[in-house]
Amino acid sequence: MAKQMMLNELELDMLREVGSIGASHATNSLAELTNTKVSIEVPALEIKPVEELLASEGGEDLVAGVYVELQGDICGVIMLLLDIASAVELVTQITGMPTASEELSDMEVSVLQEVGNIMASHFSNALADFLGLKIMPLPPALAVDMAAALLDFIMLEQAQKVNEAILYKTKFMFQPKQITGKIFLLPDPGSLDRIIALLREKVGIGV
Amino acid sequence: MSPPVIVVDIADVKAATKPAKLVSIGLGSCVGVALFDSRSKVGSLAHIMLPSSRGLNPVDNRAKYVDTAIPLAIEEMLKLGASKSRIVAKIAGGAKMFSFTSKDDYIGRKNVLAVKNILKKEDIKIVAEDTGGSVGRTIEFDTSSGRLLVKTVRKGVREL
Repeated sequence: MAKQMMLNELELDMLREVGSIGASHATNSLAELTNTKVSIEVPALEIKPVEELLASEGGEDLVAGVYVELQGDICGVIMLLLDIASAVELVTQITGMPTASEELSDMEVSVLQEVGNIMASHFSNALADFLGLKIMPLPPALAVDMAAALLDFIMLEQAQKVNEAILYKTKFMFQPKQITGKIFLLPDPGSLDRIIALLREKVGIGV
Repeated sequence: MSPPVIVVDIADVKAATKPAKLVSIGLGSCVGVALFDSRSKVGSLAHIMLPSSRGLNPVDNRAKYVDTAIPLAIEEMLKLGASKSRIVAKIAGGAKMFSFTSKDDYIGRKNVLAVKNILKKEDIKIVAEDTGGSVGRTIEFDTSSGRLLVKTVRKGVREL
């Protein structure tokens, strides 16, 4: 049950690269959808005990989270996290209609779910193409609540399998509107092994 | 003067004598277990992640698992002068934050069931509970009164 991850620098670099490809595809899809410019921060890769990841990423802030489960050759979770003001602004930009409040209507919820769906599909397609695998995102789910509560839900499923989880995250910002968000990728432990094996093959290290 | 606030992070257990406020922020699937001995005014709060440490040898962190965190909380309270036979429990958390999944074995539920099992084994009565649903909870446990405040985004504050 408890398994520690031992990755060397090269493997970490390769994983970062894979994540970057996925994240840039995901954010580009959002830029097209909203017809704006999106910039992304240099992505970070963190491998830490689940409780440490949660302590650093959590908090009580109200956020909208879109959760997409990945199945196929790679299993795991993609999560899009937007602070509530950004979520409302994003919906406004896409629909062209100002939203009344932080309470999202059914229509606004489905707009955000669709945003999550599009981003997750682009993210996972980019991964699948790069690695030569089949990855299928399941339908998205949305929740609006405290960041810590949404994140512990997705991470605890992982914590049952490993002590340490790998979290790939990047932050994106829309111009000129102040919309910021984070996208997380959490591969299942077995899937992570598979990704690493494929990456090693790619760079010719052998398996 | 207001009592000191002690934050109980995820996978942690804190015990205190009066007066103190033990706080855990943003419980989703996690479960918060507040134990209290009203005579000695010794209280503890555990912010627990997972139902069972089974298969782990050694256990990496006793505060992380229901079956080890609750005995740990009791030990800490006894050190501060609590009496085991007087301890009662209030529990909160164990939600399913995303309600799409139909399966009933989500981790929040497993956590709550495990807590009930262990408390029964320890012969500790649950006097109040706010668990399940699909809502994040911040909890604040006052060790001078034994009151547990449960704060949510939409439903405000509930007192247990």
